[in-house]
Amino acid sequence: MIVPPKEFFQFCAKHVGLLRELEQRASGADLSDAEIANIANNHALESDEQPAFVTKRLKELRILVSADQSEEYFLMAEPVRAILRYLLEEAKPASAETVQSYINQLQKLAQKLKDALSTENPTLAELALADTTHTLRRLHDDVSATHVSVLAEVARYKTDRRPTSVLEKYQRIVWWMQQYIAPMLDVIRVNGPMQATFAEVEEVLENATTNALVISVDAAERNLRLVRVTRRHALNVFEQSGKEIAPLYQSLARSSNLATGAAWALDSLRLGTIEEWMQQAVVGVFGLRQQEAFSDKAIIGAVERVLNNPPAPPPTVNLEHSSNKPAAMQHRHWLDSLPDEITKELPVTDMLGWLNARYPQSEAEQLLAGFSTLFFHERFRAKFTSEATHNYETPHHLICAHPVRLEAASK
Amino acid sequence: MNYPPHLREVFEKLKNGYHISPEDDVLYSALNSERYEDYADYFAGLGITLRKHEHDFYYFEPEAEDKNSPRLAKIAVFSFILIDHIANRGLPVEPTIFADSFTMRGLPHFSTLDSYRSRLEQVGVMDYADLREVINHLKNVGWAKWVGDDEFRFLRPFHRLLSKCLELAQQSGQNANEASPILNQGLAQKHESENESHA
Repeated sequence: MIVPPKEFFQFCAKHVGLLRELEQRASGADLSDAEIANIANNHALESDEQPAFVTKRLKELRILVSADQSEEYFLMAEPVRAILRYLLEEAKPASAETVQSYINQLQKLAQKLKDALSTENPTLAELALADTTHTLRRLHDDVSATHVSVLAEVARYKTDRRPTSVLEKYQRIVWWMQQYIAPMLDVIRVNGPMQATFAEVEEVLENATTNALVISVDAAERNLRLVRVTRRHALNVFEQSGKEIAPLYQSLARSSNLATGAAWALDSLRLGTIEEWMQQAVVGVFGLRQQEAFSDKAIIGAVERVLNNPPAPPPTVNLEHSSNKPAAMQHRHWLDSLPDEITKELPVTDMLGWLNARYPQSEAEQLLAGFSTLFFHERFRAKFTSEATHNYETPHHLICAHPVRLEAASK
Repeated sequence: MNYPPHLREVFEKLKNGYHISPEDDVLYSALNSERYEDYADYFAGLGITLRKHEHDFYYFEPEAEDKNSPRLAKIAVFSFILIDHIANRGLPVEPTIFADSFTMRGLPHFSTLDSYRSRLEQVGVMDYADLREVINHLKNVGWAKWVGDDEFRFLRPFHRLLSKCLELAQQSGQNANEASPILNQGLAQKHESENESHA
């Protein structure tokens, strides 16, 4: 049954929301009759049609096709899904397997075209050429779809405000890189199978353009242009996809690494001792250690002491033997000799006069030291006389005192 | 000897662990000049290494003993928690840290996970007053600055802590390759292919 295009597009135009929800809910899988009825019911307010009627039209227009003979489950027709993805820029990227299948198919078609040209079989040549066109178009479209998908994914990351962790985002972007960008390497790799196949197809088509008797030259030239366009398109798409996704990948990889490091540090603190953790996770900051260092003031003081105290020669010690007795010793000896000296002349009526007369060169302090030695000596008894004061003259002084009498102490 | 300008001020700042960044107009300009080597040579004579970080700030290289500070442990835990929280919210860590300012009330340290609180208590950060003190430490080393009574923002030298995170990620063996090998390979091949087609 042929679907009238006008009715089909009019229905689609009127039920965009319904179609989108059907596609999103099914997401490529089937939907039960009840689910379809429920979705149609939700969108009934949008139009004046009954939900049952809308469901019926979905099937009549082959927007939904039965998944099997039971007519209980339905799939959204692939062309409708494709047009929705195209219009809403919700394209699906090409997988590595898809790309590889195109390569294989192009290789086979190139060989078939070559054989048809060599056997001069126009029917087979035409069929091979038509299939080559079709395969190239699908490859071109899938490459475009990959580009659109990458753009949409990048945009989604930039605008998505849902609380998704950096690690999760990073894992998703890595998935995209590995699943969809990496296969493009096969398309552009110089020594890869795709480039080799393109070169082979190009060569066959170039030969075909010189064989107007077997093949339509126009068709061969169109295909030749399509091969070159597809190759350039693949190169451009990969470059653009790379430019879009690489900064996002790098930013997420860096954030992921920072988060991993921070989380690891916090976990290490939980599990280990703080001393070990500090050596591992703490960022050192310089600190000037001044232990046992001299202050500026101390250094200046030391320098000043050196400047203000110039070095002097050490005192000279006379180490030669001398017979001269030290003055203190001579004085001691003199004091010790006085008792014996005066004993011979006892009693002495004026002790200081006796000392002054006997030692006229002695200074006043020496005479007085001798006087007190004799005065308090145990062998003598001293007492002041009633005589008037006398003057005793020494080299530098004049002593005025009452005379003291000295006599032997009684036993 | 012809000493470079502001030598004393530069030394006074750096000797206390401060990091000189573009925020420090005069001192930064002095170091970020053709006389940088003069500063480095002078400090080398004192046994100190002057470092210029790839993110364009200056600091004295710390020694191993310089890690043994409770204050630095507090700074580390505070920062790791903030980074973890930003990543958990799905935000890009570096742009968020340097583009935004943070309010004390908006900090996640005591208001989100119990594990954050436990880690903070391990290093002696018990309440918001302690958190404020941590931010003061960050300010003292030139990693952050107050922009209001309750608001602060991170400065360029905070990259030293981010570098530590990257180092730890590598140590953990769970780090991601920041330079995508897929893209590098692809682009290299593309150029190769273009050169060939030109030829």
